[in-house]
Amino acid sequence: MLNVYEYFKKMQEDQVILYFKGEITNNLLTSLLQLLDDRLERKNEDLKVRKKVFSVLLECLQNIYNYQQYQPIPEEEAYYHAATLMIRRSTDAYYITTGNYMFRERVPKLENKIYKVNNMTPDELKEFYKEIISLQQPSETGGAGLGLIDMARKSGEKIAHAFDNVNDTYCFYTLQVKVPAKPH
Amino acid sequence: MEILRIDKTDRTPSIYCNHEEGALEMSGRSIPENAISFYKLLFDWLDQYVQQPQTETEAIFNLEYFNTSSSKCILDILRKLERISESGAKVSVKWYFDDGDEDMQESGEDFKSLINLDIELVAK
Repeated sequence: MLNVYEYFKKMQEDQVILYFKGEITNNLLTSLLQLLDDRLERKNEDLKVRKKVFSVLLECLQNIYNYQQYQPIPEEEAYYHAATLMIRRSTDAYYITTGNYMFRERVPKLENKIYKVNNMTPDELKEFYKEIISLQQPSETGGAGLGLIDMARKSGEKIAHAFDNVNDTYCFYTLQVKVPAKPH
Repeated sequence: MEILRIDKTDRTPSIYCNHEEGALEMSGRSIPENAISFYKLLFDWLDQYVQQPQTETEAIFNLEYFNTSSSKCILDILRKLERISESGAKVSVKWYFDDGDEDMQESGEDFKSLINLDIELVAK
């Protein structure tokens, strides 16, 4: 039998408050958001922090979802439809981490976007955000490329990311956003 | 013009538009993955309203959350309202946010700086 206790202990140590693995569907998105909201409410988490964590999670999941709509991974490769989500609470922050497969060819463009956002001051991010929503045409992914900017603004910290090589076609993209919270 | 009324869901706000009252109101969460298709009815209603607006229009945005997909639509709604104001009618906009919710307050300020309208930020 699989040693569930080992998995569980690891997650306890890492202060994981929510973990999910599987395909991100639309209905699931609503359930995950609801689940997180309930958890944070029960913990009596500060409203401001709760809303930030909720917004960041929402944008992360909708990014994954929209990307799958825009550039679908073929049905016969359902293995690569799986994604993961982890939310951790450390002493002074929440960490929202997502991981999903993506076509390797998309990496340079995305990496550039993250780099750009990570090197902006809060004021620059604000102006960049306003500039993008003022454009008439939504971007090719439908999400207008606003998700990353919004996450960076809500977090106030740099966005951590990694691209792990899987094979010639796919890589695994990990994104982590930190939301500072009062020490507990 | 017909009254537009949409009930709120887990992911979309309630919407109330009444030509006679010169009222437009949305309240709740706006986090649909495809905001453009959700806001289509409201855009259609507003396009008609712009043709024959009341002398005074009041728009109320009372949102708990909105996603980036909705932000573009909200800006488009405000742009249509701006057009009414440019034609000489009075338009007032109230942007509500929970007291202490700096992000929602800042969003209101973002829109205010992009649109030439009297947008009042109201802490509740």
